[in-house]
Amino acid sequence: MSTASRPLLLALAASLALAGCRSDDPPASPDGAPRPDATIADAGPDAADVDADPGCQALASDYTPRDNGSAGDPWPACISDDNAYHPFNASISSIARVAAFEDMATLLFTGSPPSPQDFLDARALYLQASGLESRVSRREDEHYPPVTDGGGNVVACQNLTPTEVAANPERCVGPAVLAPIINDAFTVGQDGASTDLQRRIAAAQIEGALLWFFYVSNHKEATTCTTAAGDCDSSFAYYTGGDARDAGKGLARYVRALDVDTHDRIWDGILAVRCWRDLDNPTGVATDLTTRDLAIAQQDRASLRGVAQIVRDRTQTLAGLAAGDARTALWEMIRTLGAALDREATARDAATAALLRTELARTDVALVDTTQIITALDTIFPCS
Amino acid sequence: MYRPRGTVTVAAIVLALGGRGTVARADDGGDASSPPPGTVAPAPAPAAPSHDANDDANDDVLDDALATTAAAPDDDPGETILVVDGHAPLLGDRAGSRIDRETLLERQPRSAPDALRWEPGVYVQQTAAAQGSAYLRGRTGQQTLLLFDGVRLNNSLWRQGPNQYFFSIDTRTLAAIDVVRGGASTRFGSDAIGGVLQAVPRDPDPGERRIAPRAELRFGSADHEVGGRVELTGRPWRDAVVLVGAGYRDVSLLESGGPVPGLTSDDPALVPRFAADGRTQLGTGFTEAAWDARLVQRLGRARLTAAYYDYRQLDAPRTDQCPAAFAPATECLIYDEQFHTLGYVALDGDLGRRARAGRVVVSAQQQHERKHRARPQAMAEDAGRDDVTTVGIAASATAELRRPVEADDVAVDLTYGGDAYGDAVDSVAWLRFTDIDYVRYDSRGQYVAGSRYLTGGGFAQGAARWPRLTVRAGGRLGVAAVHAPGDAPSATTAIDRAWLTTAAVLGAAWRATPALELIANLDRSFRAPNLDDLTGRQAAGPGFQFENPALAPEVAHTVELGLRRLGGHSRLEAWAFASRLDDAIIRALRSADDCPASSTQCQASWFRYQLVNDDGALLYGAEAAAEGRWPRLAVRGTISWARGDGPNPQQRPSDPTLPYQARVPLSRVPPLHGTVEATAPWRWGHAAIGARWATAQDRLAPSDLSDPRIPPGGTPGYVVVDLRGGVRLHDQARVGVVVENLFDAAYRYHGSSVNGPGRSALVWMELTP
Repeated sequence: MSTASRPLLLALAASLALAGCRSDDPPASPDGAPRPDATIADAGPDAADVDADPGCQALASDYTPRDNGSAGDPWPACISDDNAYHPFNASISSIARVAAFEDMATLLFTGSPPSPQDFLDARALYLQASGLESRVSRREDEHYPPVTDGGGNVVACQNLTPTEVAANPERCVGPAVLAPIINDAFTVGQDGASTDLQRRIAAAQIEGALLWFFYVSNHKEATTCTTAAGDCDSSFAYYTGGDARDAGKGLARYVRALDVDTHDRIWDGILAVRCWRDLDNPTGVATDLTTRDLAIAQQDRASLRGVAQIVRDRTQTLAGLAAGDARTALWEMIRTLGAALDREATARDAATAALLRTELARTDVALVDTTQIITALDTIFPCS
Repeated sequence: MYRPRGTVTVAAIVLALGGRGTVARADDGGDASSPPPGTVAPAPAPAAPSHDANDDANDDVLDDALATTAAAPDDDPGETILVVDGHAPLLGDRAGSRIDRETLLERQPRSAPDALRWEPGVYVQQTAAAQGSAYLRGRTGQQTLLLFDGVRLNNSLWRQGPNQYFFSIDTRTLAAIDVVRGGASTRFGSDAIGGVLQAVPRDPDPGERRIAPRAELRFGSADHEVGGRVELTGRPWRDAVVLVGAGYRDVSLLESGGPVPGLTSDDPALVPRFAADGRTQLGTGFTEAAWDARLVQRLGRARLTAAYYDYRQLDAPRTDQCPAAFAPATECLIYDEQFHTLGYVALDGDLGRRARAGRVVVSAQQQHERKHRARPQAMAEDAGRDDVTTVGIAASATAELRRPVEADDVAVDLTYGGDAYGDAVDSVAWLRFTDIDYVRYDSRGQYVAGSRYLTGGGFAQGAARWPRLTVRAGGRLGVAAVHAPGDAPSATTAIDRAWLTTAAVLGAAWRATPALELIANLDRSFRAPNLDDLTGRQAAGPGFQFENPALAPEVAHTVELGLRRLGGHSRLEAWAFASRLDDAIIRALRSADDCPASSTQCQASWFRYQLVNDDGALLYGAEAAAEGRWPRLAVRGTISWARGDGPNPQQRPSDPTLPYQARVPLSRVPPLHGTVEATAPWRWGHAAIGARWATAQDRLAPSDLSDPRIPPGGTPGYVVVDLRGGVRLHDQARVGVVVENLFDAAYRYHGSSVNGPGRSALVWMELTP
């Protein structure tokens, strides 16, 4: 080999050696079994017909598809008059997120203390691509005005800095409130050193936060359905999980198990939203905002009643439980989900809402006045 | 280093490939495989003065092989072709162009795809600043074929729509890029439906020196690019030359001219997001390293080339997913590693009348992708790695079946050959909880590990040449075969399938006058479904695409008519084409019930797609290029137009009152666009001005309407003006500058996630001590 060619060959050898530098795949964690198949969980047996308040009456302006196909209300004939939901799109992506919630429920919301592995498995479900976490982290509460910048331009929460998000917890409820609750709960629950109580509490917080998410999402999607008709489908699915009126997953499963009438009223509201959209330029942007607001108000009123019924039921259960882990954990679920009611409660009855807020703020379950909570809920959220 | 460009007689190629003897004219039967008369080269850039004193001929045949060009008589332009580093353009009698080394140096493209922006019939889409995909006559990705020195780069993991793989070629290693527009499966096999891009590597050329170093440096102000390349060429032993080089670039966030508003509203597209200055685009920037070695050895009448190219791109965010349209600002999909490694050995030689211009190339390459979607708010990341290793062999030669005796005799030749490429795939995906470093693997990756794919075939293409008429006809018979294991946990079906594939071409070129040639071609090209189509599961825009193991090859029939006017100082080339794609592999909307049972991402996505075969996708259009070249000025202009439509992938709604179109525009077909350039060369440098323009594109496919990359209503038109200049300081240094986007236009190539750079400068230097 000539002297001149030696450096070239050395350079070639060096480049070939460099060619080997690529990252190794990470080792699977010891309990890293394949991610569970996302079989859609059965919603469980249908709830018995329970009518918490048979005297409930619809408002005169409400859409009432169960009443002879809407014949008795002032709404024009529309697609919902057959008392069924007719989706805009052939399939609805939100259904999979509710299904993931049901899978998480079988791991975490069973009443028994979940194991750290249950939390890891549930977290994998929560983090599925385009899954629950992706929507929790962006969810805005349309009950509140949007965030604006210094020039008055609307800024989506996803475009805010973490500090700005934290400064807008009401509108940016997903990233500012719900995601931190859920993340912190997973952190505790997956820790092998956590106690049963800690894991129970963590599971209860996750349950409460996700039910809150479903409630907010049901309203948000109905609102944005104004410009994107397919969002009506998501609104429907975030409550029902895609099931028909006589069944239900996710939030619908909880409500229907407690109060079929409220469940039906939520359904009526969902059909009212769909009816409005059917009447209001279904292939484009809606313009009849008066009818829209009527429909969304009907749906939201019923949904709030549903959430209140869950909180009320759990509070009743709490009152019957002896002191212990189960009671402490249940209180965390009540506190978490109960916070979702504060905005409307304050708007309806500020004084009673303050009492409710005071009770829900208690960190020591021994000090909780369950009667006060139930009374407040019944006062603020009557059947409607 | 680079010699003045020009033309060379066809027969010189034979000499260049190892033959000794007298340079002969093509119609003397010198080389039947060479492109027939009339192949149009791109607009000549000014000839740079060479510091290399080795321009004069010597008797070293290998040096002859590396010699670039020679002049041809002006009164016979049809007998000339452009040859760069011993490589003739890919195909004659076809629409095409070539970007040569000098042009690459002067334009200073940011990438190999970026180098194509000035070519007719080519439109470059960018999903990320570190990616770029060329549309050839309205088609891209799997439907175009990429070659590197004759080695097929397309592999079985190339996905629908634009892809980034041409970006993984370092333009600083290239002597030229050839563009062939229109189908070319007869010669090159599967995927050559929209056209072919061939990267032509530089050959070692130390001149008379034993070792010759060279360096390139570049700085870009729009993205603070800092990079360069160093290389050594030399003569390690007798009859051999070698080139060893390495390059590096560090590229930061790209500053644009600002957001591009939509056509139906002032709102810009949902991606990218901008920094506080409203101009700097998030999700851009990358790091790049490349190294290569090339040895050319003369072996009697043959030439042996051994080459190795390694490209490594690191930390390259996918702009439209960094963050995605509705995701938190902190989420980002990043290609941590995108490597392409290619090694090959090629033997070129002339084995007599039955095997002129013979070539055999054996290659091995690996494409490695490792990516992760960072989700810091959730303390998690989704990650995956996909590797495909390809080995291939290709051989071709040309037989002279009949040599003309009299001036008006017919010459007949037959080019024949075959090729085969086999892929082996590894693919994994995992979820990682970053707070506790917990890793959980999915049962399968984006693809199925252990999958195998084979594509190849044999071809023969004959040409009969009369003095004024050339008729060509050819065909290919091939096979594509796939084996993919099943995966029960993910409900993935095992696949063992094979298809016979066929292609054919028929064409004629008639020289109506000595300067005017009329060309007609009919081509049948194909694309066999690959592993991405048959097994891939992946996000696709706002939706999710899942596999269809039952797909069949898609077949394109293309008719094209061309005109070439070749004058003493001017050239004009114009083409019109119509292409019908049968059994077109397109995305069809699916419901959640159609998703694979275990694919929750599919069920949770806004849209679900499955690839299906469908008939009747139609593309038609036209393109033209004109150039004039005088001693002190060269001007060039191009214009391109395409229009496409196909069956509506959405099902007709059950409500008959709802509007529905049975046929809809094809996705991301480029708008009417073109270029104008003027270059003034002088002895020690050059100055140029160029403009790229496009009209608005408002013909959108249904999937385009929800594509966050496309502004509301479509992409507006633009005019972007660039200035370029360069000067040779002395024999060992040359500097230049490109002022991009002189008027700071906010613009976007239709379908891209990235807006073009704002007003900025690229400063470059070439050192040849």
